Amino acid sequence: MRLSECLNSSDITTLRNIANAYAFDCSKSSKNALMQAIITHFQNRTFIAGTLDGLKEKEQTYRETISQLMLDSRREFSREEVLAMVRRTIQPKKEGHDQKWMNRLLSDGWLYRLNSKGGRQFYFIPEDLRRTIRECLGQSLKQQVQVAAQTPIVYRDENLALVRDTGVFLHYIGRHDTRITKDGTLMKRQQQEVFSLLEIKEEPLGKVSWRFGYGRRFHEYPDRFALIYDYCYARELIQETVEGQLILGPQAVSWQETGEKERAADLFRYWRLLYRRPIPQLRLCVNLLANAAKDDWVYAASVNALLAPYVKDYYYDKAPLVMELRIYNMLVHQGLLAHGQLADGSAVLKVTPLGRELLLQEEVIAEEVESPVEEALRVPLILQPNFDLLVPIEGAERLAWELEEVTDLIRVDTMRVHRITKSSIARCLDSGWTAETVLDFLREETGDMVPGNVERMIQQWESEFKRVQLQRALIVNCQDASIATDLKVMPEIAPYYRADLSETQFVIAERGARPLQDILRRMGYQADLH
Amino acid sequence: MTIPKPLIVQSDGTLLVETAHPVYPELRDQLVRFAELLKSPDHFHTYRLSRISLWNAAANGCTPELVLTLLHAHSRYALPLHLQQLVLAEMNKYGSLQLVSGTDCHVLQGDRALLEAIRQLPGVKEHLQGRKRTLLEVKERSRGPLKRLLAQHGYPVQDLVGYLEGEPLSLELRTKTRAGHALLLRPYQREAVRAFHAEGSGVVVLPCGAGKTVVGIAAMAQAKTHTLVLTPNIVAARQWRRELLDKTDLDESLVGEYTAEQKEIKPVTITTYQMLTYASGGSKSKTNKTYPHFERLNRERWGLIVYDEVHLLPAPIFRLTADVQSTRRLGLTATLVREDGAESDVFSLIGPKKFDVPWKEMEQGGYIAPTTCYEVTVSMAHDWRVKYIEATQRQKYRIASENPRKLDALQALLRRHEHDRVLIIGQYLEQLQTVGELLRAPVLTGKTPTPERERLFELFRHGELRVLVVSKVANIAIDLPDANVAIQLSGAFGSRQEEAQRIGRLLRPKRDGGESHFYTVVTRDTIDREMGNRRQLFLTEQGYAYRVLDAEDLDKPPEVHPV
Repeated sequence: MRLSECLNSSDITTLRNIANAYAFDCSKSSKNALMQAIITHFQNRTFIAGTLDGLKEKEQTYRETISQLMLDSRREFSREEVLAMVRRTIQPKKEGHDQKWMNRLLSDGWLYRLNSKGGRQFYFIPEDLRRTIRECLGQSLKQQVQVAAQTPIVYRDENLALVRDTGVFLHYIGRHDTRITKDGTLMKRQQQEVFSLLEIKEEPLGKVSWRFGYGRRFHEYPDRFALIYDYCYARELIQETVEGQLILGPQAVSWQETGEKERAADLFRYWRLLYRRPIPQLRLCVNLLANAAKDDWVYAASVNALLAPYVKDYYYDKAPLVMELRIYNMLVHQGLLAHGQLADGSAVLKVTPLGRELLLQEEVIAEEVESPVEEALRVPLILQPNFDLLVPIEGAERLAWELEEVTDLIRVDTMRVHRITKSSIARCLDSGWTAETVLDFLREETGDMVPGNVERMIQQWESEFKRVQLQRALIVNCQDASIATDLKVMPEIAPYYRADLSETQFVIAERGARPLQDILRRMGYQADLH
Repeated sequence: MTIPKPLIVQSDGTLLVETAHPVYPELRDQLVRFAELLKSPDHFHTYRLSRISLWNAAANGCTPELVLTLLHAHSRYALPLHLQQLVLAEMNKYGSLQLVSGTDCHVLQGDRALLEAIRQLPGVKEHLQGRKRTLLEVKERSRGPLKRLLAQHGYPVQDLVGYLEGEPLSLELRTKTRAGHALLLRPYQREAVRAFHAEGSGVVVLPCGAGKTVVGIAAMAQAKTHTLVLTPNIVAARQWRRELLDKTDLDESLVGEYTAEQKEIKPVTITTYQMLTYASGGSKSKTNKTYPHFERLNRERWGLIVYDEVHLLPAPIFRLTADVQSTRRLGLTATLVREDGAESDVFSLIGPKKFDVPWKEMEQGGYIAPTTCYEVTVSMAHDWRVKYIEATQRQKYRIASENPRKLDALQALLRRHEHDRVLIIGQYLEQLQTVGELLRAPVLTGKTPTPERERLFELFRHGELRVLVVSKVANIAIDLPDANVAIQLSGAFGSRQEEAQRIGRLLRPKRDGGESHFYTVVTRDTIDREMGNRRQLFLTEQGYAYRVLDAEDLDKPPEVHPV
């Protein structure tokens, strides 16, 4: 809602209060004149900045409340939410002080109480006013942090890796019999297996003394995976059974079908809720950080100083560590923040494009949306002479079925590393591929760059497998030749008939056992298998 | 659509580069500065970024900014974070520890916390003296051992102590060899000598046949001082002597050979690794062990020590090299990759890498003859097959290797190459003897006395002998310039180093620039063939064309393959 709408929907007393608070020179009895005066002033950045600066000296805490309110991303607040915010920032706490300060926010024109359609009261901040104030605050936040003169030489933007890895984890559970211990932890071996498939590497936890507070399974798993696991559990993407099995939950399928960005946003909301218990001011911290580091690389040390008033020690974690590990690192894992190092080794931070979108609700600039999926699809796979097939992570989905048939997944690094082995080829030949179809697939996907030795080897394996083939079969032993002849030609049996051994003996495929038994039983013969 | 970027950086330090990419030629020249070329098959080359390769880069003036900016710019996917941190950390390490001379000792300088950490490392204490807190006083004789130890712990030391001057020696390169050929250093050889000379000690990496010996000789001509040359064996030592006399103005009386056969010490002395590591006195009690030949040679005032074939340097040599750190050292090698992983010893004791050219590039420059590799598969007679199946796993390889039908294939191959000079290589002496008798060709084994060996080489070199049968001895540093066909009947159980050596034999530049051929004869459907598959992989990764032929088809006219 815009300022003009808010003012329009307010009564004249409210407007008069605002005009009085700033001693505007205008007619106090004309609603129109009041609105004009307020709008003219509030649209003026210098006026807003001056007003905020005026508070800096004496009323720092009040200014704090305003900035928290403005940095918050919610569009509307309930009365309780506003009061809670006031209580968090303004000391000392006296009976009814929250109500008093809220009234001040209303009479200063920062907040508007309006009736929503259902007749309930809601508190609004006008969108345009909020934007102006944010810009002012952003300016002043930026003056509080130190901007790096150079760009870092070490940096990583994890982008949507967390969402992708969550998908990989679900895929793993879908494909494997995944066991958990009595305490509910994944077996160490399976942990290692899962971790090796994730884009961002973590080691299973070793011995740790204290570890709690950041989630249900936080004490069992390293930070990033703990978040993935808890998220999956909370959103019912996975379930722990009483029998000690980990299986896909009822929501897994619909989750996979939502867009990547939506999933990322949902993960972010979940994280912010989860980590709020140990870091009560998390929402504010993230907002401050996002605004301070949205345009430039800023020194992490200066961000630490900015956040220091809002981050307390948490039992075993000292405050700087809470910022580093629990806030910055987790934001980095979510692809919202990039963490870098300058040549001299000092750490710097910057909000990523995804971060701007999610944390600051900014529309992404058109050029940044370069249809990544389309692009990824066309990046060819790389087949190396040592039989490793490297698959771009973003294009893997499309080829999932073929890759599963023809290769074994070894590990996930910058690309997914699949390997063609004798046994993987044996497997796919078994399910109907031929050396030629395998090679066609590989040529097609690698842009015709199949090393000669791999090509020869696959052909060699095929000829090896064909040389001797063992098949399961059933020998049917009949008392006389006429029974044998009759059985062989029955329409239910004929498809499985393979060869005669003698007049009274013939061979059928193993799959033919069931139909044959049915027929024999129907005819009243003995049909047990010996 | 834009083409994807050429570089794929994996978190283990493996870099894959697409060779067909338009920026590849420039990129390659940048990559070799901080990564080792590991594999060069057709479409993607593999480089490896390691601690040592990063130290080498830093030692040559490369900065982490440069490396990371390059990687960021050309990488197809986001760079793994910890790899970026590795680059920064390891490259910053070089130069953070400096060894300089002090009074009656050497001094290790560096950041105080770093020195403190070093003081705590196991084994460091015995190399230190004095009690100063702000710097470490290092015993003079610990210069080498400490550098080696610290490198193994992950700390490269920049050695600024300097060198002792050796006795001067007048030595010039000829412009025309004694044999009458024009002698002109190739551009990369000149560059290698310059790179080495610019700064102290170091290793020059050049492929087999690229003229490493010439680089060594040119470096000697620049240093003009008494020089000790270490070679892998006596044949190589003689080869060095011949080359020295051929290409420089040195008088014969100034070049000595210090070997089991004659022990001369001259201004230029050539010896073997074996001589140096010969130990006497209490082979059981390690403490009393002395190295008489090493000590004898160490008494001379050498101004330069040349290590030929550094990748073959036996481990004890490192220990001895640690004691000669005050002499300039030049290492020559085809590869820094060592089977035993002693790369950090090479770095700390001989010196950082000074020069490197990828093999393929040499070949394109026409300095190496193109080689085509073939695998010839032969069948096995029924009785041998039975024998093979019943044999234990260990015997199987030998039985398959000695399959008599390989001899038929061999003869067919010789018919194909009637006008070429052919080397037949094998692992098993009996098999080689049979071949020798069959072809009426001389057989060279480890037992052949050196003079006889040299005589045969000489005959082969001059073309009076067309076919030579050799056992493993041919694998090390001997020069057979005119062999253009090699046929391997049996090989050791698949060492990649050995393979490189054999191919190296063929890579010597031919005067006529003709193509050379490397055949491996293997028995179908046996472990011999499986080994062949590993070889195929290795050679493909080295960038060679590789073809598979059936022995039955050998008598047909050879197909024409476009090169």
